[in-house]
Amino acid sequence: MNFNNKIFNSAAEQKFFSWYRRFFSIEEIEQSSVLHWVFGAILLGFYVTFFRWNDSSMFTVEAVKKGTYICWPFFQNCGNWYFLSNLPYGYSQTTLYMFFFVAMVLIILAMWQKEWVAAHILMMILFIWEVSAMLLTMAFSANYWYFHLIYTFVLLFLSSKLFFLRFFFVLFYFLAGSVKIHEGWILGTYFTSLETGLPIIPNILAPLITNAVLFMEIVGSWFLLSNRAALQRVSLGYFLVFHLYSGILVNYTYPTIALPLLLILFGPLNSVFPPFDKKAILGWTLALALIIIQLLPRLILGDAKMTLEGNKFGLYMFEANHQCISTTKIYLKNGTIEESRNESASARARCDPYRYWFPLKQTCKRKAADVERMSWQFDHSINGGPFYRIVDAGNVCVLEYQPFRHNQWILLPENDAPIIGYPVKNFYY
Amino acid sequence: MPKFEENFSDSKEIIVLKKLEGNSSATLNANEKILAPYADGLKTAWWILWFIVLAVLVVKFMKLFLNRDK
Repeated sequence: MNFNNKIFNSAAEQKFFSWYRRFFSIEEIEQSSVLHWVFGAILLGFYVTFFRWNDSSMFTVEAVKKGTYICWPFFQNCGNWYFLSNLPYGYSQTTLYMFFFVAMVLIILAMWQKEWVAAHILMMILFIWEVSAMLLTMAFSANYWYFHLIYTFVLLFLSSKLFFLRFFFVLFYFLAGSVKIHEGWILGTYFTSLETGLPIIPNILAPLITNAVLFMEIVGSWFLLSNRAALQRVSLGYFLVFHLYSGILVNYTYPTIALPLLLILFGPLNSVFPPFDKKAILGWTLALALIIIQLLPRLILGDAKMTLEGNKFGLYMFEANHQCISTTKIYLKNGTIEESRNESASARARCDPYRYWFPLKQTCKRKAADVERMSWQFDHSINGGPFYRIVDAGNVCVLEYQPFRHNQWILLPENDAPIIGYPVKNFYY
Repeated sequence: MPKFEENFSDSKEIIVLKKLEGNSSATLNANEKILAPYADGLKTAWWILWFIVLAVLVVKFMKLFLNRDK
């Protein structure tokens, strides 16, 4: 508390810092070397996250003007809130992220000086921006940012920080397991429908590997919390290899966010008793909320892997291998027709009809004076299966997207979506 | 890795050919073909396991909660 005592030395200021320290349970951080390391790992997560966002134009005024932005289905007018400009149009975004860079450097200094209240306040600024940005654009909805957001929330806001960090880390594996309960993972076709197959391992072993992942995420992950050293070490070793192996596909961001925390939280063999005091209610409520949110897509009619409705509300990483073809015809009032065809063969590009509908709808609004109607056909294949024509709309401009229930204009393969062909093997990129 | 356009132009052509064949299961390997008839059953089994694990956890934590002062 030296830093606070020197600079903020009035009685009111000292009272505030005392309350802040108590309210956010900062004493736990001060007393735990594991939490010191966690603080550093979370900070590293902020660095890799903002490194990516700093360079993105998806959350800028220009993205709104060009119609390239994407809002969440439950907040479709998010563009009204955009205020940043990225290069070459302006300096505001890079200036803001340099401010955050300074905050990160100051956090390192505060950690070094053991000024945990100062470090906490500075990280709170980063966290508030992370939440705001993730709400204001759907472009930052990668699952590793969901993880980072929750871990940061636990570290900053909850009491019994060490227990809940360990618990939520395992809960995420468990929830991610539910995403994979689908033919693509049970048969292994997610990977065998890729031209390049599974990395390193022969395709013939794909079903064994994918079902092993399912078992470890649903059952084996909980052994990370076990008091039995052998079980705990087997589970830790498995997930260590899992993150290194999956990094071959997903690149650096996910392993950078997950691996250090895995080693810090589960490397030391110690058990932490679950808290049941009043302060722990927030942590347990968050756990319950995450489980409910994860199951939300199951309550929406149709296979979320095909319709993508509600898909991003919970974890969705590696839910299916996608390919799609989107064809639009714009009928202009002057009698001309503009046709465009957009195809995606990247396994991880989600082929979400909403992701295609949103910019088309913006075009309808922006060019209302010129556009008579806009027809749209959307064909989607998952895991090397048939291409189903899941959208065949005469006029996109009259379609609305409901975020929490099935949209009738998205056709379901089991009902009325026709098969229009079969895909060749695709790629993960 | 081929560029977008190359991959798409290939896929467009083969989409038509495959449509005539009318069967995408030809791409399944030997192990996948063994599992394919049981895919729905396995899916149900995995879901049952998922909910069992969830139930076991809830019971374990409830027990700990009820015995917290003992």
